[in-house]
Amino acid sequence: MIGKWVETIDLWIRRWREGVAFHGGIHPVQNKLISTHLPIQTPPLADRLVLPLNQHIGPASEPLVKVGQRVLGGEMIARCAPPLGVPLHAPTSGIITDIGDYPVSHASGIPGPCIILTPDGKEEMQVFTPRQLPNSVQSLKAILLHAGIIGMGGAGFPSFRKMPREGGSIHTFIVNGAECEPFITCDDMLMRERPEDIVEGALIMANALGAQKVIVGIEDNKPDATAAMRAHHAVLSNYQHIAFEVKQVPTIYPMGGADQLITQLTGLEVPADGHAVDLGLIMFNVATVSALYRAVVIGKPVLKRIVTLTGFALERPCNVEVPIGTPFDHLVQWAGLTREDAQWIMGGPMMGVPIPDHRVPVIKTSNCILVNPPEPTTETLPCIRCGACMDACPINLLPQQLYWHVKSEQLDKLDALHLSDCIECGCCAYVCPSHIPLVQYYRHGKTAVRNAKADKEAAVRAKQRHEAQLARKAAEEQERAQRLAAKRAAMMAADAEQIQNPIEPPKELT
Amino acid sequence: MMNHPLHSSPFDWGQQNVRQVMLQVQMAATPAMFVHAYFFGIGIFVHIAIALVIAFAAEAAMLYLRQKPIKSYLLDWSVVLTAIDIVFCLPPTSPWWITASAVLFAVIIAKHIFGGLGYNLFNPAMTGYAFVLISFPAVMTVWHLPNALVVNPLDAWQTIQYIFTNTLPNGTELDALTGATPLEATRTGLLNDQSLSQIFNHETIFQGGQLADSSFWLNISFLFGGLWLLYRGVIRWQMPVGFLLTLSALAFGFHLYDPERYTSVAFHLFSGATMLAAFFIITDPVTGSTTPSGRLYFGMGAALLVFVIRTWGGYADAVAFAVLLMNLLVPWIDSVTIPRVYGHGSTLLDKRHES
Repeated sequence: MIGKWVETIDLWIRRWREGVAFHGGIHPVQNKLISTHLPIQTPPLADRLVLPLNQHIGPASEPLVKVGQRVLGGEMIARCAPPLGVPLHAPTSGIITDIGDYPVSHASGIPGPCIILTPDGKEEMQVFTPRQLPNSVQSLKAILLHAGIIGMGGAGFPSFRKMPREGGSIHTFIVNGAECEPFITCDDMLMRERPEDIVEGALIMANALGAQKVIVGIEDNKPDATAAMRAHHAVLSNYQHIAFEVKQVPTIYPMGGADQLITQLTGLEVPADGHAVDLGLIMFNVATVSALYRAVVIGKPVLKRIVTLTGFALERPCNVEVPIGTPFDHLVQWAGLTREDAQWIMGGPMMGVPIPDHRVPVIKTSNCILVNPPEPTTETLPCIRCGACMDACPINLLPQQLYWHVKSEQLDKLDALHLSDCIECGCCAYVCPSHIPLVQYYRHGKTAVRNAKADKEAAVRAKQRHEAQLARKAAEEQERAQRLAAKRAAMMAADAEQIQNPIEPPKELT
Repeated sequence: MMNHPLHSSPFDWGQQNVRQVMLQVQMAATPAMFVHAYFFGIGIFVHIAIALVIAFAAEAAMLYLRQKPIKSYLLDWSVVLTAIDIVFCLPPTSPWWITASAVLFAVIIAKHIFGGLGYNLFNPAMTGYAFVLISFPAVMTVWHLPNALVVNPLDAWQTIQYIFTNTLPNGTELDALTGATPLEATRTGLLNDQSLSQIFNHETIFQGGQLADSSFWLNISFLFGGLWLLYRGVIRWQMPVGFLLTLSALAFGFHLYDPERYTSVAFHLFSGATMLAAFFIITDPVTGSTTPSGRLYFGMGAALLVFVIRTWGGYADAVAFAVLLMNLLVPWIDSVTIPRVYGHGSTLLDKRHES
């Protein structure tokens, strides 16, 4: 009980001081202004587009094209079994020159299956036909699926799979325009330049879902985006029955985390064993909503995306709209690389993935290419148990206890302290005065826990198999004994019949 | 230990480091240092100098023996904090070897034998202080009187001479320089069956309130330093709040019950090492509880022990023993005060939202 009061007092203090409704969070240096002084640019087309078959969370898609085949822009070139993944479309016209394993933007650095498209530069597109405005969850799902839309904020979860089964269960549609990661400005620029895509896309989706309310959450470091969104909604006349609100939220990392933004905007907590949908809420990133808008109004699947090209090792940091599959090095060279030893990261400095192979392509979830001079390495000092990590953790874990338990491989303790709930946002490592790379320890711990669980399950299965085998043998034994007994009884009965002197079979055998 | 090069996120680090944490605590303690010097002369600075030299030497030697990187570990400044905390607890004109033994014990035994910064179970400063308090009780219970109460206070040079050679200038008696602290005076009086009103009126013990003045202003300066630390986010509110509220509540209850035997809330809050403990000692991160409510319980437990030992125990002040006893309980407190993780169970605010 006292624990709850302490937690509540802490939250009150935070609301009073910063207006933040969730625990933890940090204020890293934003570095956003370096990439917002130019409008969204269009660099020249790359000579080769690398289209990974697995851009979403779920199984990889199956290619529908052959090497040597010519495709038009917008043509479906790969497909996944519908309940799981989304299709992939050719971003432009050209020849399929290879299907095979190429480096993809993944932390492991392991190459993945890709389709290689060599553009012919003619940009010949399929004829896109506008879709009917979706009026049910089913029709909305179909559009999301066929347009190949996945969570474009970075999650990569196929959007149609996030939908509830039927309409009416969602009351509030939330658009995530928080964009809390330092350096990244692609959502900001999208909201500034194309507010109509987002406002109308959100209203179309909310309408199809039967939601009564749309809330757009934008961090208060993006006043231009907020103003543009508000101005656009003011002139919009459709969907008057849906309340529309653009809410400024305090600038604090990780405000853009789905659960954090939901708590900030609604005061509700997403249960650990459930989803936002269970609370009648659904959330999409601004880029995802904009993609849906284009899929409906133009009938165009996801072919391009806006990527922030930024970092202190670039001459002209800016936002670019590029075809999916454009290699990173093509873009970075276009923006002007100033030092060869720079560190390339896909995503932001807090949660991004280092890119050792610079030829990896932009995929549907690539929001940023960050090219910074190498960080000076800091010496790791012992943990002084100061608790700064705990105060920074947005989900109220005990990072420093987790760190001790990972180091000592106490896996049961890690489970008890809910390591699996860690979102790897990096706040704990950011604030650690001893510069301990905490998140790496947690990744290691998570893997160890997962492996241990798998081992345990395998052991349980083996034991079950063994026990089943024993039981089967015992049953067979018993059956044989019964058969024998029955046979013997029958023989005896036959004998008895012969001698006209019936004998009762022994009791235990009946 | 795993050795990771920085090849995965996050790639950005905050500006804070251990040294800054320690430096801010020292800055917060600086006003108290000058208040101390105002009342008791420059003895505190002499002792800080002794303590720092010994502390750095002992720390460097231990790091060398333990084969740790000496420069970076030494420059985390944690040892400075230990040294200064010890000096604040010692009588300002105690001989140099008292400070030296306390600091040596703190750094070598309490800190490094247990594994160094971050691994030590007991608060090093309090362990060092308790060591000299138990080992040399006669020296430790002689407290230097505020200079205002002494006819011929020692000047700077005489103070240094006295600390290092134990010789007083001709014509100065030790008795004229020393007396009891307010807490001790009260304790002695109560043990002699005097009522509190008698004790506080007693000219020779309380010296017309001036003795209490020094204690009061020292506590005030620690309070302000502590509030600054809270504002800066260096310490968390749970420990001081738990400590001060519990001490106040206990003092209030007993004072209400018998005002002649139990001292008032104000007396408890502004005597002895109360504020030093509340903001500078129990807040030591390494040896304190690390969960939000655990910190509250830690402060409450320390206050309970301080009150019990002050009121019924064998020592006039009790912070060192209270803190050391609570240090023992920290692993248990931490294990039973795991905070609610986001999305698990409900909060008080949740219920309000639903209703």
